[in-house]
Amino acid sequence: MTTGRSDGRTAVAVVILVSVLAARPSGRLAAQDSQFGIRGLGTPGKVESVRARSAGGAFAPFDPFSSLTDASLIDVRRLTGSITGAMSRRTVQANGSESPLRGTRFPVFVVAGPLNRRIVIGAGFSTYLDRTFGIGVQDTIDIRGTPVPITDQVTSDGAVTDLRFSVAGRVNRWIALGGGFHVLTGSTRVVATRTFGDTSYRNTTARAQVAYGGKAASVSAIIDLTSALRLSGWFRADSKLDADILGKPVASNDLPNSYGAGVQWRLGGQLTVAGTAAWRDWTASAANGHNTFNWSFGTEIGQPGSGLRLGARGGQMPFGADAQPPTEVGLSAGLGKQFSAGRGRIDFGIEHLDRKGTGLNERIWTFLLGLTVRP
Amino acid sequence: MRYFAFLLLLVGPVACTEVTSAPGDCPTFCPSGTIESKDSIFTDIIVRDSSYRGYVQGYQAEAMTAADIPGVIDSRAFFVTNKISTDTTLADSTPIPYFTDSARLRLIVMRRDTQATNLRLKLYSIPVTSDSTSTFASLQPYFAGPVVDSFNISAILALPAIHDTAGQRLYGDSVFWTDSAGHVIWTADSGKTLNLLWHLDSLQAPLVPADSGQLGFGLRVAADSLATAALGTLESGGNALVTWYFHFTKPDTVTSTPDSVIRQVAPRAARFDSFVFDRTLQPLDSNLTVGGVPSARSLLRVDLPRWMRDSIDVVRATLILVPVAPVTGAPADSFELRGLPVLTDVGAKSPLTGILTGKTAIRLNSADTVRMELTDLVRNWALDSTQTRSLMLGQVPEAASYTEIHFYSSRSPAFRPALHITYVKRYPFGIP
Repeated sequence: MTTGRSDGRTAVAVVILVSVLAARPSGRLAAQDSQFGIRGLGTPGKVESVRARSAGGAFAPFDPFSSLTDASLIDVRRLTGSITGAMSRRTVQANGSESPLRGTRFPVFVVAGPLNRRIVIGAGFSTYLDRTFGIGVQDTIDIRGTPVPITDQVTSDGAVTDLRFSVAGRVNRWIALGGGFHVLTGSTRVVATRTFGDTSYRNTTARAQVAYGGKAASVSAIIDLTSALRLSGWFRADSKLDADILGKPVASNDLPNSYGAGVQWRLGGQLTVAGTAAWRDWTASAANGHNTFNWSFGTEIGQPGSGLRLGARGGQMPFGADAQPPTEVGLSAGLGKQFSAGRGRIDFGIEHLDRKGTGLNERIWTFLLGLTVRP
Repeated sequence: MRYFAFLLLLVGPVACTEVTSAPGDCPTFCPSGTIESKDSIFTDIIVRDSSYRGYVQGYQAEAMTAADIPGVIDSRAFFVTNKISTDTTLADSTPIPYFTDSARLRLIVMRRDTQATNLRLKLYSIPVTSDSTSTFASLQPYFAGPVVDSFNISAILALPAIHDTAGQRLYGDSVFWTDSAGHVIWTADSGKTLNLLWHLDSLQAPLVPADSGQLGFGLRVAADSLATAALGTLESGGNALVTWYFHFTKPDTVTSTPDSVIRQVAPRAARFDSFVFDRTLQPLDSNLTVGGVPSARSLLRVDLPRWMRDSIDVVRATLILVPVAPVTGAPADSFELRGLPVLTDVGAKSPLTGILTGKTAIRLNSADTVRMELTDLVRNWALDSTQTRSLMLGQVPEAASYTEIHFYSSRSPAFRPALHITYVKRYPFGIP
């Protein structure tokens, strides 16, 4: 694969484009929403870079530009920044009807660089919980002894964002450790409107900006068993998620501890496979919370970072209507391309997700676009 | 690489459009908080309510009502016209008297009962000294006298309407009706307002020098039933108007043409107009009074609870008033009851504002509870705590008829005024 023909103008154009796309309100720094998250705290974001997500998320524990583990930063050799963009089209099936939705999100941003030969530091943000949704309900209520048709509309625009400050250190030739401190922040602009079918009644609209706050800490390790086989493990503990309006507390919810493990196996110079498993306990977070287990498996064909990626993922969603959690199954594929003599890399990916739960199904197609730049 | 960049530029703007709303499957997949409507009748929210009289006198009203409902009301209108010279002087300063050929009286009927049959207006002569001190009793002898002329509105309207070239020169695009006596009705608004033209001869409209050419006329209305009519006044611009047609003769001493006759036309509007009726003015009592002559208004003060001011959104507010008794009269004399917000509460003379007003119709001969929508006003009170939360109830038009309504006040616990408020509670933001 040749990279020598790429020139600086192309890189500049791409950087400008991505910068323009990224210059959006913080509330849009979110992942794919889901109707399953409306009744709970939200929809957990996918903290994977385009490269990892195109392979089903399997490479996320080993990918420094995914926010899953801190130890993976150890592979960053120069100051590097990476951003992920996702454009999704979602079809929601509920009550026998289908609703097409679409949205654009920038779920992950990571910048990292080595402090010295053994220590790498990094920072960035990722979507922790997406809370962007809109719900419309038509009903007839009895007021003053007369049935009055109404339409209720509740829209929420925003997310809880995870600001991460992390460090990774190489202990010896085969083991690297990482740790991170996370600040959960963000807000949602919520608008609740009731429209009356009878013009004797004035329509009512209430607006509020709900601010969220919380903290978390994470630790992780990567073990190079051989030059081809790597293992990764991680643990993260989150505090409560506090919600307030104009400084007045309105809610405080427990956030889950999470842990997981992954394995990556390089089969020669042109093929790498990986798999991960992750657990999270959302039962204390909301009345309809569940324990979740998620898995992924993926492969990258070609040079690491610049090849064809294929992957599959599956698992559970944290919030649902039933005793059983909703499930999520997905397939993904993608390509990477380096340019400017390896100083930049652009990644494309496409992902299809099927989410199924009692009373609700969702089908999502997501186009992924990632840019990694080493100045 | 350039192709990749070009692709990005293409898909970027397209992808950035958002559609996030879908029909909700509630309550399973909706926020736990809901928009909750509540509805309450606040019976003790109207406090310190009072009535005051004397805002508009009958002669200041926009209309004067003539009505004759046996056993209920007998209301009569009257007016006096402006002066006119009764002679002229030429070169030798000898007064030359005017001689009336005829006069044309214009009256505008602003409201009538269209169901009335054989509706007639009867013209009576009254003293030109009639004024605001005139009463029903003081004018009674003149109304008992001979009728100057009678105008049968129903009969003339039953004739074929005319819309021809000659009429168009006089009445524009309006249609008109006329009878053999020279009475003309023309209307420009499909019959809602009627312009009546009376032809009066020199006996019916005498030019009396002692009265300085003034005329005084009284009007009674008659019909088989539902006899009522509201006539225009000076205040509404629809006042009575007398057009004099007269002549005088120039003597030989001032002209080469012997005894030449000069004919002239002179219109004279009403100088004063009012109406009287046979109902005695009752003093204000503990109830709330609105209407009548002179007009009465009622001031209601609203004690809005504190919780209502900062934690709800009012979506509908209705003032509930219980009449003490039905207002009796002709159904066509039904009127509008208006609630005007008070800018500053200084009692009877509180300045009022014409925005965020409420209004409702008062049907005569009906004992139904009166409801007035005040949604915008109460919303404003709930949102702005600096607003004066008082309301003045008044009649529209004021002092234009004999009608007057009495409501129970806050002194009558069982029937006191109330405010029916439908509101939406604060949405529970932030709760998952």
